[in-house]
Amino acid sequence: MTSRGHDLDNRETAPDVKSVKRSVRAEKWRLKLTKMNKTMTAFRKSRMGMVGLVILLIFVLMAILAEPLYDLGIIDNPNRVTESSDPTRALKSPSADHLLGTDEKGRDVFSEIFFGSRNSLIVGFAAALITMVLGAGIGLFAGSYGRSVDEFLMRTTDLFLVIPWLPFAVILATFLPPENEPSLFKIIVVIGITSWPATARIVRAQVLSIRERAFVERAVAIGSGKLHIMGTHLLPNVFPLVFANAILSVSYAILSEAFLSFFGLSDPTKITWGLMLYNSFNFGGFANEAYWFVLPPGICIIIVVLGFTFVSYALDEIMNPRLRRR
Amino acid sequence: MQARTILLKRIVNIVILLWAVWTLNFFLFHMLPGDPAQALVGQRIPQEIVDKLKHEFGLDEPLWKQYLVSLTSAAQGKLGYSWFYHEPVMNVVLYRLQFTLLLVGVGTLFTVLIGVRLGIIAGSKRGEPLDVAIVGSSLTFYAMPAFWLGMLLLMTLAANFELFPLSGAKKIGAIDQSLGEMIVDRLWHMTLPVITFVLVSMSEFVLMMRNALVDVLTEDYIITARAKGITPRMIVMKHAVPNALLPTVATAAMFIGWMVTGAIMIEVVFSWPGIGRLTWDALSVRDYPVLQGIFLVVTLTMLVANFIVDIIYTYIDPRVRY
Repeated sequence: MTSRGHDLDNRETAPDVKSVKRSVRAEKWRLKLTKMNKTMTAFRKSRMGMVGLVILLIFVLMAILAEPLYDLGIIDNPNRVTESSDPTRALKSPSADHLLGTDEKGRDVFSEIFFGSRNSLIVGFAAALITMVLGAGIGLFAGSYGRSVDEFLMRTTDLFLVIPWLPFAVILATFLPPENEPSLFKIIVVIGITSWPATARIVRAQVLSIRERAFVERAVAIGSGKLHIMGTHLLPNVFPLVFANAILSVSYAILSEAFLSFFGLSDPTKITWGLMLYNSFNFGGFANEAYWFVLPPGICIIIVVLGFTFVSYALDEIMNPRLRRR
Repeated sequence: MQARTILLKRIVNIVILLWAVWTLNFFLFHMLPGDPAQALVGQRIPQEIVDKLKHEFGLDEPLWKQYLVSLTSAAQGKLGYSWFYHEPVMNVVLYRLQFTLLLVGVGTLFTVLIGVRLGIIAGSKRGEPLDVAIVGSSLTFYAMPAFWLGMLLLMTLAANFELFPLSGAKKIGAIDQSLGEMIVDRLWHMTLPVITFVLVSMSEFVLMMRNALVDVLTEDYIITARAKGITPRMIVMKHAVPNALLPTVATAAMFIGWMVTGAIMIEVVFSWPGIGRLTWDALSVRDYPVLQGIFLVVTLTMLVANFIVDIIYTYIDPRVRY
């Protein structure tokens, strides 16, 4: 009898707690959604941000469409050298057949731009992801785990900040295994592990100020663990900043890829805009003043970098309260 | 007294950072698969000779011993021996460093002068077409790979109009130039690289100066100055610019690395015989000791540059008193 009573009690209270939990969760999501909507509305009002977004969408579309367009026979696939290259057509100026002329191997520059956008964007996003995770992680730990951890992580960050980027990246790219075997993956890793320090610093500074707020104090008072506080209170509050920063680091990564490719450190079979410039500089395009080959990759890099910069500025202006009053 | 202790602390800090960078460098090199002696002599050399070489270079010693030995020799400025130039790395790198310092020095001077000037113009005309034009063009140059801009300038100004030399730091075959001729020749060869350098590294200064100025111009004391009837020009030049310069100088240190990166690529395009061109050459012949030497020497140069910016900062900001 008594045990049944217990059961009954449980049955009565259990759904109650659950529904309360559910409604709390629903409320949380509702708040998040309204906040997101607000950000979106503010972003839509920013002309700079919208211009940047449109630019990015165009290039992402180009990257996605490269393969289908090749299947439809509209563009060549410069990665399949044997099919598309023809030495007799090398470095021809633009014509109806080749809208942007051909490169030193007779490949169609217009198609190379499409396939290049794919690889350049992949490198950009992947490297920015590594930068974001490393930077945010190190910044969070430094900001919330006491003095000695902070001191150690920040000195490491300082070390990485003073290291001259290009020589360091060159050494990493040559020495990381497999040695002397250039690959896109290696380029991504090199850019990722050389560009997190700035993010880490920004995140740490933000964490230090959030840590002093009442809701974190309350969480400490009710005995929340450090990891729990980091995950549920600190991370969500620094995330907007991290996000705006990550978008900016995509543009850095795309530029960095071009720099490293220019030093011959990227995979010669994976067309990127940087590799195109490397090819044009080293194999005759530049010496023969093939403007049609030299100009397009550079212009693409500029436009994409500007696009990411615009979006990042616009987001920063919305999410960074210090900038809003200006 | 206090100034000296802080200065000393800075220098100790530099030494520690250098040591850390050197250690990183050492272990990166030892991550290389295969052994360096084999790489040095090639594949077809008998094993005994390789072993003998290994012994001669101390490569059969335990890692910690190799570490200590090369650390002591690095502290004496010995960075190893170039595989390609058959010369001590230090000699090779230091010789090339002069050219880089010349390019970066002259370039930085113009970058700061022009960049700050344009930033002031943009900041004081905030929102006007001139501001938009200056900010827009600096952003565009900022988004541009330095080597690409160099290529374009070479293709147009040097190759097409033959206004400037195509490459190098001096006229080919120039042996008995007088000092005057040499200076003119050097300047003529430097013009395009310096223009490229200034264009790509200027944007940071323009934007920082502009934003700092815009910030300062909203301060209360500017309103006071305006209320006193001081002309807008005087407000900007005498009241706003000195304060806006502070954050600009403070953040300038962060872009030294970016500027060095730009300079390295510009050197490659213009065949300027500096560190950048050396990096390029060393990469193409896999001259690892030289690559590592470049890395260390450039790091040291950057640390020193940071140090100098710090000192300048304490001079122009009276609030920072050591």
